[in-house]
Formats: sequence, structure tokens, C-alpha cells
Amino acid sequence: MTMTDPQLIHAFLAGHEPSFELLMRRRRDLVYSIALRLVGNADDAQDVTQNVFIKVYHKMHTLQSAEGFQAWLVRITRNACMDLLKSKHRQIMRAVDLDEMDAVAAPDADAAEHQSLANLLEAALLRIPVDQREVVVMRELHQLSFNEIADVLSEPLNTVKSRMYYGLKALHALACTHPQFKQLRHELLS
Amino acid sequence: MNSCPEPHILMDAAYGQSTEHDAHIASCALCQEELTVLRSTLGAVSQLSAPSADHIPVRIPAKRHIPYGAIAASIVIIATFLIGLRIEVSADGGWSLQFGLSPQAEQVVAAPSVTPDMLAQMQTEQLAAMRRMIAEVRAENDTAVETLIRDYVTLTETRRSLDYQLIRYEIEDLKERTDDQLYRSNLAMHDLLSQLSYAIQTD
Repeated sequence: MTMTDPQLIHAFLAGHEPSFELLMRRRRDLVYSIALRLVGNADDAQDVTQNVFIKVYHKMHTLQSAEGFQAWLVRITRNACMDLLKSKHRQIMRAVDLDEMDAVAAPDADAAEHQSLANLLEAALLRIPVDQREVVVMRELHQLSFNEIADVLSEPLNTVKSRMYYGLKALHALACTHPQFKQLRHELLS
Repeated sequence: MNSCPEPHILMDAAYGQSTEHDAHIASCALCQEELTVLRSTLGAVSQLSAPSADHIPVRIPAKRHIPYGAIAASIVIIATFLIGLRIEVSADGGWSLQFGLSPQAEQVVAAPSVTPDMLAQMQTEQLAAMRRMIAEVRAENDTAVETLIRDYVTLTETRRSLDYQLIRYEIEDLKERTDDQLYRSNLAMHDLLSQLSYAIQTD
């Protein structure tokens, strides 16, 4: 029998500390994955993940409904990433430019030959504006509904959908039109 | 182009939801092109997988213990000092409470004069009162100890049950990760064999 997240949350709030560890181990991939895609490098993503664990530990008692835990966790993760990005003064609103994509995805011809479809997409994902990227990541990689994303971001539903639209268009412009992507996709599908 | 629906409506259409612009979208070449782009990109993005975070340990932050007892004791000591409270016993057996630094604020309660009979009666009454008090306190203590033991047993059983479930989950999790690792190994082996056979063919 596996304990559900709400059961673990209630147990933790009742003083059973190992429940917190188990809960976070279950959700560790979610937090790290969002962090990695938003901040763009593994070290920062790891720091964000640890900070999120600490915040969740101290603020769990403020969680209004155990059923809303995932959205709450994603919101904390997203805010932690934004804080980090702001503190590092990163250029997060980069212009979509195919030449830049070439520079990132294919540093040299030999390396480009071995680059996988996933790597190309990952690289492209990091080049689109962060407000579009976070929607694409939450919707497509973590299966949050548009309503949940709107709740997490405190934005209107249509704004979220529009960001998804522009994010996908930017991704398409960056990755999907890349010759190597077409070739890899063709190989994959054939 | 101006009659084409807004991006959020096209996004709904890309996910296959019906909208009030369905008729336009179906007949508009531009919208169809947009939908093709959106759907192909969605298909490509869905192939990405979440990176594993197994290497990140989950550490439970140390709890900050607040020394409530020490704080309360400090407050009492400071308050006592501030109001200058002291108890003084006079020579005739009376006692007094004094506030402030001035001894002029003294309030004396004089001890009453008693006969031996009255003293004996008072002692008997005091003894009886003390016995009653001891009996009451003992009864209260028995109840408190009983409640404490019952609560402790309940808590222990709850924790044991939770720990048992956690261990079960750990085992399942370990099994899942082992299966996943095995699957990845098989996949890698498959890729390796494919590459080898391709290399042999091209040679």
C-alpha cells in the first residue's frame, strides 16, 4: 500500500518527520526538472531544489489544502527560480535567432553530428523567453493543466495559453526548422 | 488574416478542443499552417523527459528549539526585580509582602493569639485537609498517568504503522528504480547492437 501525498502531508504536520523526506523524494524530480529548465544549469538547479525543500519544510503548515500540494510546490519552485534569475541579472528575454541556435546547438560539425534530437530541443528551450518557457515546461513536461498553470503564475487563463502559443512558435523557429532536427526526426520516425 | 482567431484560441484548437472559430480554422490556410506548426512542435516537445534528481539528497532542516521555560523564568525574575517584590517574616510569626524599594510600604499581618485547645483543633483540621488534598491529588495523578500511557501507546502505534508504510514504499521505489535501470541498460544494449550491425553492414 502506497501512501498518498495528502496522507504524507498530514503525517508530517502531525510530527512524523520521515514523511517529509519521502514526500520530497517523490517530488524531487519535478522540482529539479522545472528548476533545470528555468535556470538553465545543473548547479543552480540543485541549489534551487534544496532551497525549495527548506521553504516547503518551514511553510508546510500554511498549505491550505493538501490536494493542492503540487501546484503549491510548482509555485514555490518557480518563484525560487525567478529570484535566482533576478539576482544573477541574467538576460532572460533573448531574441529568437537561428544563428544563435547554431552557435549553441552545433559548436562544431563533428559534435553536431552526434547531437540528439532531445539535446537540440533542450538547447532551443533554453533560448526562448522564460515566461513562455515556464508554461511549455509545466504544460508539456509535467502535465499541469492550463488552469493549474494560470493558478501557479497568477495570470489569466488566456494569457497562459497565448504564452504557450508564442513559446511553441519560438521553439519551432529555433529547433524544428534546424536542418539537423529535420534529419534526426526523419531518422526517428522512419 | 484579421479574421483569424487569437493565439489562445488556436492553442485550444491545437489540443483538439472545439472552439467557436472551428469553421474558420477548417477553411483558412493560414490557420491550418499554424496548427500544423503547433502540433508538430508539441509532438517534438513531448519526447523530452524529466531529468532525474536522484543525486540530490533530501535533508530535513534542523528544528529551532525555542527555550520557552528559560524565557518564562527570565520574565518572572525580571518582573520580580522591577516591582521590587519581597516576602518578610516578622518576629511574632506574621509575614508581609513588600513592593517597591521603600520599606515604608510594608503591610503586616499579625499572628492571632491561640489557646492550646484551639491549636489542637486547628492541627486536627489541617491534618484532615491535607489528607483530603493528598487523596485528590493522587486521584488526579492516576488519571493523568493513565491518559499519558494511553496517548503514548496510540502515538507509538500510529508511528509504527507509518514507518511500516514508508518501508513498503521504499522497497517499491527501489524495485521501480531497479526495473527502470534494467530497462535503460537493455535500451543501451539495443542501441549498441544496432550501431554494430550498421557498422558491419557498411564495412
